[in-house]
Amino acid sequence: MKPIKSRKNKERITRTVCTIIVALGAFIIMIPTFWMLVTSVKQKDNTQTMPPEWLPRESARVEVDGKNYFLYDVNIDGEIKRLAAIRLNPEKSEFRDPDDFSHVYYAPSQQAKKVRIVKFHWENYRKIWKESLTPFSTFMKNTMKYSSLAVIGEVVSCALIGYGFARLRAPGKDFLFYLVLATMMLPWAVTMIPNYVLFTNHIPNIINKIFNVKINLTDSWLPLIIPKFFGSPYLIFLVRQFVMSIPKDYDEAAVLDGASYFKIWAHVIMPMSKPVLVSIAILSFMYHWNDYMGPMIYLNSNSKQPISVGLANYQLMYGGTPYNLLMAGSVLSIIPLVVIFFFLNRYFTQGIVISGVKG
Amino acid sequence: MQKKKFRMSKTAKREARWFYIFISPWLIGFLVFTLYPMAASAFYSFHNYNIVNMDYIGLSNYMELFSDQIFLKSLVVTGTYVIVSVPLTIIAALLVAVLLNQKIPFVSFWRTLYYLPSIISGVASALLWRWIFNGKFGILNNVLAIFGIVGPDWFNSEKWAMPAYWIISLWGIGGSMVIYLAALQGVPTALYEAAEMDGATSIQKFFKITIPMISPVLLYTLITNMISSFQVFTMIYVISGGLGGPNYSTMVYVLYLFKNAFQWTRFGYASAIAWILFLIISVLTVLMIKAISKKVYYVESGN
Repeated sequence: MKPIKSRKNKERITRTVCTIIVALGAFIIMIPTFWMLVTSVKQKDNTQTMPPEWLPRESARVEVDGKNYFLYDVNIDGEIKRLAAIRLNPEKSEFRDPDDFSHVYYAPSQQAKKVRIVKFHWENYRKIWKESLTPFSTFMKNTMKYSSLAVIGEVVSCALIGYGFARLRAPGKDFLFYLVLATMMLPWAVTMIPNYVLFTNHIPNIINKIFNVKINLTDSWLPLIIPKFFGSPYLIFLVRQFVMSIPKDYDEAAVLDGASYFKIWAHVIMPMSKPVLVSIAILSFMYHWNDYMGPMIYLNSNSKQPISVGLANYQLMYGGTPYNLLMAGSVLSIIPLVVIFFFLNRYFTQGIVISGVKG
Repeated sequence: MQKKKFRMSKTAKREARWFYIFISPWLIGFLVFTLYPMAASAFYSFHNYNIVNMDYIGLSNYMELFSDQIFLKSLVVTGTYVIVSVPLTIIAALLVAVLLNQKIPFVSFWRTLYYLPSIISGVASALLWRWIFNGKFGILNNVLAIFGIVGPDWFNSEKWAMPAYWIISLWGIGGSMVIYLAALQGVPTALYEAAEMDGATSIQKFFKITIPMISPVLLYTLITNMISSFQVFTMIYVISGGLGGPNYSTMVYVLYLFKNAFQWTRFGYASAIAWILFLIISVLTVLMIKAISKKVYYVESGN
């Protein structure tokens, strides 16, 4: 047996080492996010500098009579003055006092130092929000619409389906549940093409034959939203796991009272399942907010696109050089996710945990 | 599990009817949006199909795949990505989870920070990484320069473009990390105490207790990460401008599938590509479960 004191010491050292490693890792992992924020408030000319500026620092300017001049700190007879540079010359540069422009100073350029200030160009956000070819406000609205409809569809359908699998007994149930699990593993790439043909071709044809109505599902949101009302295997699984953990006494009491299964679902099970419903709503929202391939396949017009496609197209259009605007757009695009994350942190991880630990 | 009764009582029939009513959305969705598409995609794969015309060509699409240099390259590129990034992210996520499972100060703050990048996914993160890996002005190469390393022009280099994506995959370890953390907290402390009595070292405890106890979730994350890595798309599509360049070095599997289907409207050929992917993933999943599940330790669950 080791003496207790040295063991405690050892534990303390381990803990300190762990904390240092964790903090270091967290620092590194936050650098990209920090860099995105910093770039988003820089001036365009200041994004591509060597070495990179870790703060949105830029050369200070002053405007006099409609003209822009760089500001310099100039050493004039041992006294540092902040002056506007008119002409730079190694031996005799001309400076003027920005407050009293007639006041001229001369000094060798060695004695002058460019003034650097930290300036946040919040107007980058305004620019991308309003002034790009298709304003980002349109993309955001589209994404919000798409995500919320998809969330409603998935939450309602999965709540029904998950309850069925968790509580009700029926022949063939086990087999069907294995199918749910199997489709969880199914690569979406396999069903992507036939689903596209189904929505753009077969469904309009069938509807045309039966009802004699012409509908057009190309460049429409419907093919992206309709399937969401038929449940998603992973979320069904989460709801089922949660409902199974609710004690059966609750619904049995309701059955004795003669309540229908639908009533039990609505009045007993659903109120108790709020945590898992919030969890699946978040997972669904995150997925659809970031969804890129679906909208890219089904939508053509720029004004209908979600933020993911809008951002990517913006980059293609401008060659990816206005990094400050691109980063401002990226920040805007993740704000809703970050807000949800900080308010509903608990539910965020809960869903993932249910699936992994009990799976 | 109850034994099946030959005749169902009235209430049992009613319950069964309601079961099918409750799950009917899934059943319909499964038939229309999963089962039918799978059959249809198998059917397309034997045809020359571009939505307008459909000609039966037998196995020609599959034969063509074997001599399609870009397809073969995409297999290698994607396979390498899976082989590198899946173990890399699992090990990193496990390492972080173990560290965050120690009694360290501000632990929930650290957990939030490590999870945060996982919510920044999709196009926004693609643009960010393109900017960070920029050969000249990117911060990565500038940080490397501090240590005297001249970084490559990542995404414009045939050799370094894929390794850049391997590195990027590390950023999204949050999801797996959270699962491991929950699993680690479920390991009974009595096991560690008993091992300490016997004089086990930390490393022995980790490999003899921790790993076996969390092996079910390791298997789960291994399979789900493998499946999603095989289908890596958005990041590479956005960064390479949909080209998979330079010189097809980042032409990943689903990107090639996508281009065949939606740019060149070769739906039959693309369906063959999709089915090959399905077969690869199915075989690998079954093999993994078979190979590992013998070693996976399942705890008798309380409920």
